[in-house]
Amino acid sequence: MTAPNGESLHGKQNPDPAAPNDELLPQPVGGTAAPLAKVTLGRIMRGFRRDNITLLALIFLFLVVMSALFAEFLAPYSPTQQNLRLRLMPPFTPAVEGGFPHLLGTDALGRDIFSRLIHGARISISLGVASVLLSGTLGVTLGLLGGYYRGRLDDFLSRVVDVQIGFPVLLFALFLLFVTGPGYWNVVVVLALARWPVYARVVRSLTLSYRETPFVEGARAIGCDDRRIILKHLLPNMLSPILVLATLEVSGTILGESGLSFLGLGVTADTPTWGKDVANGREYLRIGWWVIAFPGLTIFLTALSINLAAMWGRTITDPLGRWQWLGVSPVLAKAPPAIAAPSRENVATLTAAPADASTQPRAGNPPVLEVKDLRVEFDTPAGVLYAVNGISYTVEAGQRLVILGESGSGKTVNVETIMGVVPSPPARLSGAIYYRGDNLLTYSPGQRRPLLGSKIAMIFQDPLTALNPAFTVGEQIAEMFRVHQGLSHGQAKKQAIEMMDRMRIPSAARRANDYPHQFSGGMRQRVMIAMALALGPEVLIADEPTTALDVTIQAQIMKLLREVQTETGMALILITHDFGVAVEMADQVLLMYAGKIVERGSIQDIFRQTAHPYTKALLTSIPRADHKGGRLTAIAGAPPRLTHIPFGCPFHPRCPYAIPRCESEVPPLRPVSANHSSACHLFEEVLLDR
Amino acid sequence: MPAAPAQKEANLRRYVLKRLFQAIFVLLAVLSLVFIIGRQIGDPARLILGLEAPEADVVALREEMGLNDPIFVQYGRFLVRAVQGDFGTSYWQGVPTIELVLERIPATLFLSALAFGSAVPLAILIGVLAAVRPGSFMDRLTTVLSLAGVCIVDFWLALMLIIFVSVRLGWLPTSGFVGVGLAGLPFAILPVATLILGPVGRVAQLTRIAMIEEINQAYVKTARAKGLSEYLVLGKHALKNALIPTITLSGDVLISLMNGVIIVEFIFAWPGVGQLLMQAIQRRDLPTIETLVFTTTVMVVCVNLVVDMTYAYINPRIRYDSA
Ligand code: SF4
Repeated sequence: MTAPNGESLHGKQNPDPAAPNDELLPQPVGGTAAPLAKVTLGRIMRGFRRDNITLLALIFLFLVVMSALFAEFLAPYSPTQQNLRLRLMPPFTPAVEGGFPHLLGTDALGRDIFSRLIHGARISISLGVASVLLSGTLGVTLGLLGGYYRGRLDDFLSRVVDVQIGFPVLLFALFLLFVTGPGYWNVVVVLALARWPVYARVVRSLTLSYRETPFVEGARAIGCDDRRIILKHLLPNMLSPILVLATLEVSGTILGESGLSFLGLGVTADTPTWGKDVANGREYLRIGWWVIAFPGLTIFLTALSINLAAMWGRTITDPLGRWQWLGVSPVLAKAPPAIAAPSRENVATLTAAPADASTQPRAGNPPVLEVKDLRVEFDTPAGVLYAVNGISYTVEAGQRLVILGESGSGKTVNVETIMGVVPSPPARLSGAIYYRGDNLLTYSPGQRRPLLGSKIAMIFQDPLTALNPAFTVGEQIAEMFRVHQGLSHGQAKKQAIEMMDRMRIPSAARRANDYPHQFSGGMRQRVMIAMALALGPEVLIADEPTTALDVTIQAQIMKLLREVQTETGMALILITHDFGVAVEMADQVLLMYAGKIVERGSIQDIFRQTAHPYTKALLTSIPRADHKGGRLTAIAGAPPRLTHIPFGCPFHPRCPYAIPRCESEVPPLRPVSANHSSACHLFEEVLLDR
Repeated sequence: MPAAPAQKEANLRRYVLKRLFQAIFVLLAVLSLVFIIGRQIGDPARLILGLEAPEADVVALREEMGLNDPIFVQYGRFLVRAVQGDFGTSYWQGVPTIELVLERIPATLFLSALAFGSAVPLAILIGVLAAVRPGSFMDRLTTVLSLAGVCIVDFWLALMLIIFVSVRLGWLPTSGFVGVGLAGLPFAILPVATLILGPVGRVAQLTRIAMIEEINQAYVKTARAKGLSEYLVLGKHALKNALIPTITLSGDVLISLMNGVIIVEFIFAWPGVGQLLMQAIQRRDLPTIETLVFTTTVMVVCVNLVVDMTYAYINPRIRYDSA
């Protein structure tokens, strides 16, 4: 007997593996999806036409239930009618008396198998439903009580549930049936006793999670009694998971009953059951495969249909799933977006924007890193997402480049593309990324790999999630030496400890054997830095390395980064949304907005000769004196969704300087002074306006 | 905060002790249940002597067996004997039941070990391949296997395998057992195939889900940025984390194998404990059944202990969190 395990089978929806970085995902406009469309008969029909497997399953289930109800009228023969002249006849044997042919053949006593299956449905379905009603009532009641009242009762119930779920069901059932003897109701009760813990466990955990919600606490506050809270507030909210579970359990119970029948401990009356019919065929398996094959096939198809129906039930009880199944996209059902997506022509104009002098390929010594007209686009259900839209910049050895931008400005995708960690089939890349003159985008992953970590390294925003929880930090650092330099375990470990020491992690030798979760946030980021710097890279990319940390720790990490940068002379690309960090760290600053560079220059230029309205807005939004970590959110309006970037200058909906031209013409990045440029039609005016 | 090694030890010890305590609770609960239910079934003396035996003999035997003692005295005696492995004499064979059961264990262990040893690695492989290539053949195979595993009854699968593989094609013996070891392998193939369908489906599906979840974790990005090959990124970094739920499930797999062997041994005439159970049921041999229930419980408890320990080993976080 196979223990059905619906939970693990369909429990979790697999996350979309292709989903790009969270910060890129379009925010839903109207909060939850509340489509305006109605459920119509036509939509249901079309839904079933798309999902014809579910339709077949439901039809089959309908037929089985009809058989169970009206077996006497549907079956061509009586299930017990023997015909010794027609023993073990194969399928499609015509009847002797010219009656209905024996569609599925006959058994050893000449009984019509098809008719027996129709009658067998009665036991299977009724027993399955009865047992599930019993176990469901028992399990749901106990689960609710345990989860709601907690305490002793809950402890005891949980213990019993754990024990019973961990015990072989068949052995349990056989033992009880041995004691009680076989029989219809005995089987019902025994199977219910075997399966109630499944509901109790699910309902208990649901109750626990609902118990703390405002609506239950509110009900308690206004003086609802427990009975009312449980029946009126808790139970209705759990109904759909319980129903889906119960449906799956019907299938499991039918399988269980057939197993018991097969072993001769099921229903005793001489009504046919599917399990007994399989057992009847055992002796004739050499000469009459059909006697065994069809009853088993019926059990299989019934269980399969129930499972498919339960999966469908799960889909349509979920609001979003229901609309998807009905073929109504919640996004499409909304009012059309106010801002149109850039058309192909528009993109073409973007491309046509002339690159300024500093991005021209240079003769002689190429820079460490040069990004040229990089574009990254993702196809999402909501349309094409333009994450990076033609940016160019260079990084020289020893330079500290800070890329500033709000979330959704494309700054992270930009550097992840350098590292090749953007999921590449869903992302469309164009442009070039030169490392010492070689275009990395033309490299295969295998060609790029030797550079990653050793020449170009990266540290990530949240060190807790960026470190693997299942390996010690020493192992994770040592891996760099083993993979790239082929060092032995011992040597690599020694090097790793040395690196941790250099990053001022106290008692490094001992801590190397600890796991990431045993470290504080700041220490974890030091581990990340140790790992990134292990092989002395020429470029270190740090993506918001302190965002997840405390303010005091932030300063320490920045100090460490600056020190190691000076010490090693590597280039540093620092991604941040914090102007304070930029001031502290940058030689060069790049400001990004909607996947484009809006202003670029030395930190002094940006500060003293601000040449872009966006930069200006950012600077005025920094809280003075009291707190230097001003966040880039204090500008009126929201950053554009990258699926719907405005025409012309992407900043125009939020720009106080905007003129009509800004809505139609893309401002190119124009030089302001020698090493300072801005992508604004009116930067001269902005410069003067102080 | 860093935990000192001594503290680590203490936490681990507390964890182990807690599990052991739970195990003892389970054993005691099952023993009590067996005792209570066993006494409900009718007069054991009558069961032993048969319906035709004279009443005087039955009364004498009742006295001899201590069935007239107060119930808690009987219960105490039952517990003491059970702990010593003494569940009485088989009505059917007339030998101590524990001997009967122990004699059958190697055959069952052989079958279960083969099934477990092939199911889990196979399922993990399928699940990982399915997760790495969504929409591929392996991905679809995982869905089909997991549905089939839940919907196909094992006794039917076993019989169909016999009909087509053994009878029609004549490739393998229909049933029987020639011993534990290499020579026994051909006889074990069909039973093992029957046993593992469900577990493979379930474990593959879970591994697939867990793997997909892990592939989307930030540390996978880190591993790629470190310049590791995809083999290391997925097969080392992601897999070790994805195995955590899989290990929990392998406990369930062992338990569902214990279900499976009852049917499979019955059909394939495999002389293990599952077959013994069916024989004992047919002969109404209560002591043997009680012994089987108890030994199965012991095995279940051991399996769970091993799973918990492995889990604690592979998932460093649990050593601290659950303490
Ligand atoms: S181009 Fe126009 S809209 Fe854009 S920043 Fe300059 S003034 Fe504002």
